[in-house]
Amino acid sequence: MAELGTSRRGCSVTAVFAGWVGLVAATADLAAQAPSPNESPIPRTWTDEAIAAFELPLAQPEFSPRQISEDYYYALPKRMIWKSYPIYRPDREPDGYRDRLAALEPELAFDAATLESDQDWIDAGARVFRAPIAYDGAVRPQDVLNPAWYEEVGIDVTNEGVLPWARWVIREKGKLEVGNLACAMCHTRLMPNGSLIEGAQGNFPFEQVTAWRIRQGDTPPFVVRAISRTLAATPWIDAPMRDPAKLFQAPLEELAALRDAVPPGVLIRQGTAFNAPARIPDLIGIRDRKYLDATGLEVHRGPGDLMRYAAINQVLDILAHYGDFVPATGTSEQPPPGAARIPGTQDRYSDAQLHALARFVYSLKPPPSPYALDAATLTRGERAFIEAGCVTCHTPPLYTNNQLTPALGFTPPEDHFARYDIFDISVETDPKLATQTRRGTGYYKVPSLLGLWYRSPLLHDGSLTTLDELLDPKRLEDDFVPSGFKGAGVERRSVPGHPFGFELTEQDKEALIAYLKTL
Amino acid sequence: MRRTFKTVIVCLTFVALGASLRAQPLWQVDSASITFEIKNAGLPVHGSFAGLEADVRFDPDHLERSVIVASIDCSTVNSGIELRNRHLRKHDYFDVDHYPRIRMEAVHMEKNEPGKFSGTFVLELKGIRKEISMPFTLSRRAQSATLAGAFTINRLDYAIGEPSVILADEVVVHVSLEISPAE
Repeated sequence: MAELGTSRRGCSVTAVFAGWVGLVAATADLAAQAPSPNESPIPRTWTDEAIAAFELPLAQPEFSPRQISEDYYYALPKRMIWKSYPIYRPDREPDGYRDRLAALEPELAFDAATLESDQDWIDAGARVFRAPIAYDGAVRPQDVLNPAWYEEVGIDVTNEGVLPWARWVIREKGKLEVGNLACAMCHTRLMPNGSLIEGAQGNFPFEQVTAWRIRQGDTPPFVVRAISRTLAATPWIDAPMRDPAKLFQAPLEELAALRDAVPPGVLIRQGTAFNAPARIPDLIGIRDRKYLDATGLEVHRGPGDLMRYAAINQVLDILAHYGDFVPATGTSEQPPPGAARIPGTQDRYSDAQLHALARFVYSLKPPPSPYALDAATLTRGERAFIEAGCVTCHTPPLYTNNQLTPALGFTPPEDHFARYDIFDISVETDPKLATQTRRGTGYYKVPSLLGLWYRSPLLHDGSLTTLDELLDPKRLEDDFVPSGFKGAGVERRSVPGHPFGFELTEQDKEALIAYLKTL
Repeated sequence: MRRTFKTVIVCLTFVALGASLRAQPLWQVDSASITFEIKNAGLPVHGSFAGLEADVRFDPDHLERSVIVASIDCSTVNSGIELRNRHLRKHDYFDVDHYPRIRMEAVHMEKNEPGKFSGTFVLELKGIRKEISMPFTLSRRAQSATLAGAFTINRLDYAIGEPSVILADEVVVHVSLEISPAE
């Protein structure tokens, strides 16, 4: 069968599907929702009004975060964006490389006054994206210069021998520091062929690195425990590893094992939980997403909201009050501006930096899929996509309907239907992230299927790594062995929910998967 | 499924006008098929309902006295995907908690030719009553007969879901009743 049409992602489609996709793409409200990348003037990131309207309430609304005030935010000093340099694995480092770096003067890499063209702003945003908010933290010089760190943790480098997720920074002449917790640390994917996809679901083995650090024994136990409490404490939830005191008393090896169980591409991010981590999202195409985070915690109406997202999540949300609990301190006390002694809380991005960052993220383009389809497989795959019901929620051309679905056990309050875009049926996946964490709105966002070919693990908690597993009904059984996140000490468990495509024939499943890998 | 699909309905009530209902032959429904078809993303999706209850008093030679009343159980909606069925039962589609049955009622019937009829019916779905037209046939056999017809509605006329770029508005409903003389 001849190829009859081309979707915006370049995959051919059948006549019926092409006509229908065209209809969808022409729908005015989709275009209207797409935020402008060049909003001008630069939005003020943090106003009390904007922040209050930005986040959805939590499933237990009385514990919804009350973020720091506008005055608090702007009392923090602006963050410096320093020029940074690649880190090579020791055996791949050019001779004399670090000596040459040590001779360099510190150099700032962001000056809004010099930015004129769109490309200037995008390039500057890329530098913000790669800029750390912490130094010598999760990753230190003694780590990146230690061959055992790469071998024992299982850390890969690019074809050039470069560690893609951290960079050398010179803030003081003669002193090389490892920049940590840049956006790029979690949103850079190293592909099997050694290439990089910037903005994608990253695959730095962050949790394994942390476990390795804990087991090295050179991090004060107080710090390990305080970080654990700050990340996961959810005192109003009666579930394992939520109680601040118990988290602070947990044996270090237990904490290391909990970290080790979380595969690359998944994270125990602040506000999640050790048994309910979050898949790192793909930022490519985020311009078209209506909600941010797997739980749809934030609304996305334009660059201003993306700026707010970065400001809050890097990592000022740990200063918020959740009820009377402040994660940064483990108490009800909110420290004065800059006093928390936690990287990321002592300074802030400037509005211009965040605007540049938003422009850069909006500019990210998906890499072309290396997968190709013959016409018969394409037709069969598209038909399976429709008949299995995928199309209803993962609607082209975005491959998401941009709606929120209630997590298992959560009933949306009546007023939510007017305030949010809700697809009122649960697909009954594991509800813990949505109902038992500080990011738990009670909902999961319908994710886009674009870029599936380069992303993994899948589902909100990264339980699965392949589409074959997703379409295999055996995953519903208790003796299933998930290839992604299982949990510490867990070998077998079911991966419930999203029961679609199970009835497809093997040929249809193959065609559907082949089709999805072209998106 | 708000943006999804769904559909509809059916039930038949051919209510005869006229005087003596007792004079009309009473039929019992031995089996029924109530199916629907709606396009989703350009491709047809087929579904069905069950739980038919009907009162059929039908004489093709005395349509003015004939009665056929039927309703179906909304909660039996089956679109082929269980999770989708559950969504169809919720308030944004059939709202089965508040509107457990769909009813249809004939207000006028005419014979076009032997075994072929046209009728005007009142369809009551989700608390909304509207007249529809449905041609139907009666195929008689020795001890039984088949009453069959089909009609098209706009699901939005009955508040079934919302306007959608995925799910079509038009739903084709097929009704087929296997009937035999009541004892």
